[in-house]
Amino acid sequence: MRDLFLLGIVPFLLYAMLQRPFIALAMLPWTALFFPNGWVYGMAGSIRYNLLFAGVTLVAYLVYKHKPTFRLSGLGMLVLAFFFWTTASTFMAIGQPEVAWEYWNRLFKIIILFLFVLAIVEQKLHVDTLLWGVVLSVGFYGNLEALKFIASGGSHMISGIYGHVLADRNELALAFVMTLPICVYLLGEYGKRSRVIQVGLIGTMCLLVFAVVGTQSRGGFLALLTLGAYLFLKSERKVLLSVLIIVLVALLANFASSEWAARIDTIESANEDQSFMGRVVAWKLSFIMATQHPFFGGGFKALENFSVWRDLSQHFFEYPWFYTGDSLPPTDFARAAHSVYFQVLGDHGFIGLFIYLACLFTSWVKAGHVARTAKRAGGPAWLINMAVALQLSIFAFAFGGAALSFAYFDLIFTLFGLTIVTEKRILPAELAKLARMKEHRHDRQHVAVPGPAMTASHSR
Amino acid sequence: METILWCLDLVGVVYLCYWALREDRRTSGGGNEKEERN
Repeated sequence: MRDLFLLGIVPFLLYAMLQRPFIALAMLPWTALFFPNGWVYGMAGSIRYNLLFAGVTLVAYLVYKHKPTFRLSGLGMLVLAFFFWTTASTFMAIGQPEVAWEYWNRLFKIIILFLFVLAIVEQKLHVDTLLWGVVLSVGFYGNLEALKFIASGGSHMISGIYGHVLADRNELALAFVMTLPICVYLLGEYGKRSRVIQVGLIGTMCLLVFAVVGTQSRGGFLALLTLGAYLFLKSERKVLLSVLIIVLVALLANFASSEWAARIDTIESANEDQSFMGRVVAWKLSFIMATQHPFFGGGFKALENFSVWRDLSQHFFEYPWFYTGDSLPPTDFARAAHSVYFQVLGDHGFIGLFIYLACLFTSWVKAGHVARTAKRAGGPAWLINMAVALQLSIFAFAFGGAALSFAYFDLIFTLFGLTIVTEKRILPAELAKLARMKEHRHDRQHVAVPGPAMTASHSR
Repeated sequence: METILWCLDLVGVVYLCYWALREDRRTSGGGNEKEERN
């Protein structure tokens, strides 16, 4: 049944995508994060939707007659510099080259998505459609799994679909947290237009919070708390938000299992927790790899190559200031880096990490700059809210990603692209519109209030 | 239940495409069509 349904809607999606490249673009993160292939078991499962949709996006863009001028900006240059750096590091990979090139290929597709964002998105409708695509993929999965979590009385542990980019429950939790500010923005924009959208988005936000708890991810829970505090500081509806938080916490208390509470309690005693200190061991080995290959690092996934892991373990005691408690590197298997920062440090060296950090920091600053400039100039509320949502989502990634190997996540590169577009295209267009309106108002005032000479001639 | 919600999500995606297309035609007079009319 699912196969028939999916195959039934694909022609309509393709038609709409070919009509407007921005619709095609919105379908790219949707298909990447929704993962249609993971839900069907028959003939619909044999289609590579990602590839098909990317091809259609390219065709739609090429035939579209009103292409905006392509602008890269400083942040765009940084993202491309990061990609070129990863290419160089892949050539010099110390792990298995085929694995490194496979992950390079994944990043290449994400960079294509990033470039499509820069080439296609030019107005609010385009950004909103793309953000709706994210909510209809990550938000949908969060809703579904949270409902299972509630129905099971809190015993259902949420994890991703096997083979999906969000298969790991920690990464899934972070994606849920990153989707929350997007829901807040869309609720502000479309909630008043339709009761269905309002109820749907408020329900999605509450269920996403449940879904984060349901993953039992400590990193995800910390990211949620921090995002909540940040959102509270930025929000102009502090009373409403406080009531919402109190209601959610009261509801969650009924569903959070004792196992979950025990896991969360270990955050306080992280330096005694073996699971957490195991991550610190992986961080230290990533650091050692970067000291041995400071320029290009070890290449994608080098740390997870057991022979590399074993070689690095021999240098484990060389940096005693890097505290790992009593934990030692496992001798029979290799671990992932478990931090976006140490992952990039190990994979692409100190320079790679520097460029990656610059991308994150610049995008966060630029989004804040758009919000401030729009506010100061009396710009539209939606632009301020959109920029704040982008900033919060980037912040959630930067904080929550500190304990996850999730550096090359499609959504963060999409947010980089949206930040550039918001700053370079949407903000200037809105400021120009404001200036024109002011000028027009000024002209009308001059016409409405006649000058002394005119008054004199009329009186005669 | 899962399948029903899954189908509803796909309906949401179809509606998103339809809405985006309609909004774009309404606000900009329609990209390619506009040029063709001219």
